[in-house]
Amino acid sequence: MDVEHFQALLDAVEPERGAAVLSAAPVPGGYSRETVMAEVRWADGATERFVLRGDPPVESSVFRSDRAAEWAILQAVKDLPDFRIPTPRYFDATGEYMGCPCIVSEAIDSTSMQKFLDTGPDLDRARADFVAIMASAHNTPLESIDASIERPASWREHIDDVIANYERMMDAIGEVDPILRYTLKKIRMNIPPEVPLALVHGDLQPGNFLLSEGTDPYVIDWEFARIGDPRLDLGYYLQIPMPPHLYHPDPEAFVAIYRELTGLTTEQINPAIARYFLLLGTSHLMLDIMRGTEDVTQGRHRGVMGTFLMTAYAHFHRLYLDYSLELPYAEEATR
Amino acid sequence: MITRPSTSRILEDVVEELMRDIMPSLTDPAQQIRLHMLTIVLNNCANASEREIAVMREEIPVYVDFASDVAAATGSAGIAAAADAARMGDSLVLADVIADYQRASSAFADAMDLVMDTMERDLIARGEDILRMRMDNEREILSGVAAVGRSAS
Repeated sequence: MDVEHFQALLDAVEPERGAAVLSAAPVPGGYSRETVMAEVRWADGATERFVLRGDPPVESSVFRSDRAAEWAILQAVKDLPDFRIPTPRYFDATGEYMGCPCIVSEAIDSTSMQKFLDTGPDLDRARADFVAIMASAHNTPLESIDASIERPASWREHIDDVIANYERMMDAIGEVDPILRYTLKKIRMNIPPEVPLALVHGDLQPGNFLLSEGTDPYVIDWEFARIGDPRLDLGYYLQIPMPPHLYHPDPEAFVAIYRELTGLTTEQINPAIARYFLLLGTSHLMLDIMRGTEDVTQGRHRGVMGTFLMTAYAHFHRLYLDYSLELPYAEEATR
Repeated sequence: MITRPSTSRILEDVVEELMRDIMPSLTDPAQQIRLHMLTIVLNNCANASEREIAVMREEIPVYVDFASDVAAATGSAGIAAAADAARMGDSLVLADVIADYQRASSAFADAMDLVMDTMERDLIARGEDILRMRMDNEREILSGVAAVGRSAS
């Protein structure tokens, strides 16, 4: 994803506009996709900046997601009224021009909510804003989302598929992990009340909210998005390690705002259920991490992430045990 | 056999070289982040090399004893057979210890499944304490989460 490749793409998709790619600089720090910030000057003298998101080589990456599916989600949500995304502009589905499957979106002059939180703002206000953005995604009417986006046949089928990630994890490593076995058993003893399916982001955290002067926040990084149980996003956020955290200081306040904005009941979402959903909302990442570590075990190199993400493996492992130990046994849960 | 410096000390020395001399020469932030990640991996390896065999051999009898006790309490022939098959061997070769550890972990997990199904309260509590012990040992070896280089943009 360098100047020459991006130039070739623009020459193909915008042949009349006379693009000149001025720069293309990698943005370090992503754990999943490779990101490049590029600047373009058009023949009319206007300049424009773009964010390029491409797939790293399979042999040097761990997390798996589908750029075509991400592009479809971006197309489905780009014009929704309740939240904004940077406008998706071009898609090189095959890597013909960019050297890898790549999505090109407009760049936004912004600061991430995570950086904003580092400046010491009023955290009660920040919590309310964060939950409001989360709820705006979850409140999106499913009929407004393009029918091409896969919909589970039922909530129960969907949640069973998410839970099955634990079986996939154990299959991936080919050995018994007593902590995962215990966690899976407690998960199955505590199936939560059903809620309506919703648009789930899959990596909802302040680092993926962009704040820009005079506009609503932008939500980025939709690679794990799908239609599912919205509480997966709440549970996912609980494990985000970057401070300051907007949930843990006052879980009840967090879920109360969420209930008010989404109409879910106390039975459907409360701090105990949010903690249950940490076990499910992170399972897709843990599965990829465990597949990566198994590849390393089998002598297949997966880049620095293949071994470095052992730290995340340990982080999730610890959380899974801590949170599943809290879950009641079936006979207690039904009292 | 050369025992000094130990494997862990060698790895720590490699980390020191990487951080002191190699890191300052890198100008690409992406490469700096990768090197930082690698030093964390090496530090974890140093930590593991000090004690992983000892930790596994401490845990194996705990798992086997639990499975044996569950077999006795429930009359499960399957758990009894798994516990018998998971007795620790004498070899201290890492691959052998890992194989012993996996057999013992499997027997323990099967036993834990059974007592959770039959709601054997005392055995459940004991099994949960064993899980906590396993996690405490894992935590001592792996440093836990390190969000190196996570971009906030």
